[in-house]
Amino acid sequence: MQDDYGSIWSYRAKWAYLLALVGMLLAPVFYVIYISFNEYGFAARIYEFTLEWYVVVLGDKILVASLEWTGYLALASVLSSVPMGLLAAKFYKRTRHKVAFVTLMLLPLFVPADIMASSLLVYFKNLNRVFEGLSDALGSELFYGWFDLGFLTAWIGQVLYTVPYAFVVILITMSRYRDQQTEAARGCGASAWQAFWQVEFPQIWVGVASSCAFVAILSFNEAPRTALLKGGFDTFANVLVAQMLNIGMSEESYAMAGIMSILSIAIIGSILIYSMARSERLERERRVKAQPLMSQ
Amino acid sequence: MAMNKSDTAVEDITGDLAVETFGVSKSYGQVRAVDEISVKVESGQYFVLLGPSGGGKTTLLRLIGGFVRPDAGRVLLHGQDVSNLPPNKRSTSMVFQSYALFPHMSVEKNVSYGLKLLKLPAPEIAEKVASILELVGLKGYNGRMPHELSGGQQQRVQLARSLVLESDILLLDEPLASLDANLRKDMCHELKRIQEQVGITFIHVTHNQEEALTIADRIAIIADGKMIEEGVPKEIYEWPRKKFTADFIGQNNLIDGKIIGIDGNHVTIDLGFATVTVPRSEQSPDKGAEVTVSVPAEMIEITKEAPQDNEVSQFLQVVYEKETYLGFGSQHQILLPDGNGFVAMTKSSGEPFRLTHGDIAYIVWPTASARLHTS
Repeated sequence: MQDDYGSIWSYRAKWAYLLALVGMLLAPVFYVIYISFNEYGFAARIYEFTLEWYVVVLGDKILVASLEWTGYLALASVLSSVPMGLLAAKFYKRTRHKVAFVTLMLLPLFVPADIMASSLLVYFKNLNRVFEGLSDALGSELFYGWFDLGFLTAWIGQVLYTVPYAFVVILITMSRYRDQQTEAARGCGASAWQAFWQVEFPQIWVGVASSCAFVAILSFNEAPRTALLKGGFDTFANVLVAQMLNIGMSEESYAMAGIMSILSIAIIGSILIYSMARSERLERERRVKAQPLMSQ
Repeated sequence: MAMNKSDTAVEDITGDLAVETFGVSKSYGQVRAVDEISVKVESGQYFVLLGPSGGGKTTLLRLIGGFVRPDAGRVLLHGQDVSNLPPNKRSTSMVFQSYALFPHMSVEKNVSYGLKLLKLPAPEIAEKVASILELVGLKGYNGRMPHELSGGQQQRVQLARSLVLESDILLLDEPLASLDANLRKDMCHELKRIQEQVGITFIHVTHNQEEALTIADRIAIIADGKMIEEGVPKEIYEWPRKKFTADFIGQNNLIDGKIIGIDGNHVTIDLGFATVTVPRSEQSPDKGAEVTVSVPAEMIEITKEAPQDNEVSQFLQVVYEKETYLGFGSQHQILLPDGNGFVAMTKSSGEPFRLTHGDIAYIVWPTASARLHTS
């Protein structure tokens, strides 16, 4: 909003600064996308638009397999991290020790990705030994290899990484919800689950959906944890990083980076646009509500 | 209607009691929100829990509704112990202070929510919703969303949503607190009309004494987590037994003193600067006891001339301070000889008041209008 007593030039300067900042942050991303559509790749004098590199990427069996594995990992993470984040957010609203709770929930985010990944690696190795010892003691092979590196370990690593984000995103939406509505539903005869599903969830589903999108995107973008914990399969980000380290950025690499960036921007962009439109609608409704009450 | 402090109250059950609590307590950390409160509410009564904010009345209501579990004591609804039952298993429904309507549902869906949970047939639901909306004066509002309604209308929808369930007991937690003064008055009468029409038990929490006196069949005063006293509105207003009630309800002047004489139905109190006579209370304190006398501000007359000494009225010499015009009358600030303030209310007579700041004057009140408090 413009300050009535401020200079119009100061107002314009603030906008110019904001646009410059966003431009600076997004320029490398858009530049990669731009190059990914060039027939002649990076640093060529000629620019000729093509979809060829995308066709090549999507025709590469290894890349498509990595895309599939990433999809499974994203789906598994969404299905586990979002309900866990939701439960944590519900618990947060009830607890009296809110600061301690948030600190504990967000603490894993402050551990550097590589350190978290290597810690999990060691942890799973030791856990395997414990389980193997248990199996030996029982004279059975039941617990052998439960924590061998593979999809399960990569999934656990991904869940540890994404739960705090899911929690924060849901909590933001949930803060608008008034618990009295749950009590009113219970007073009408609803069970705790009915009150949640029929009254609370319809009001927080945007946050839950945003959280799903966020967790999915994080699963596509994350590399260090899965690189150490994935075992015998590759994720899209791992293949991209490996390619860059081994042969540098090829035309296919740009196309892969383009796919990830376009997907992320499209998902986050749609959520942002929807959220802004929704918040504008809620604000309009709030203004209507704030009109002087009529004796009725 | 009776109130007891102990579990022995269970012997008083007569069979037509809607709600009984026996020594219920609830603490939040170090704060004791409700402290051993026992109360009985008869079926079909409009019962008001009145008291200052933070006194524990909402917690008591929530204990009755099952929204919080008591740390100690029992809650009985129609003679059945429901202390460990959640709200959806109790024969109560609740109207909340703020508009706890479901914002994503229309008026009709809000009102029919509980009926759908009961899995009633659709035509029966439609019939019940139409009839209850007519009762609360919202016929034709079925399709409106909550944000399209005024504050008063939203509270009516909440009321309809609770009433349509035909619960025996309706709990109202400061239902009029967020309404403006005029709307609150209208809604008070509306609530009373509806309660009389449906004939169920209403338990209404408020901190507004005018609201309580307008609407209640009986009032319980609650403060600091304790039941102070309980009675019919006239009794609570005109003959408060406790000093706290006298201080909280109406505008009463409280003066501390010591009993120096007991004569039949009257006691003589030494105020330190004068003696006054007041009717003897049920508590019948002994000579020498420290007591408090309360005198309603509206029973006090102010005169410039010394009144005749007689048994039917009491008077004190005072210093007149100032008049505050209130429209329907005036409030007069007076200074007692011991330096404490006193307040008198007079109705507007159209004539200018003759006393000015610093004048020596006399305050007079009927002996029978003063009350004696020992606690």
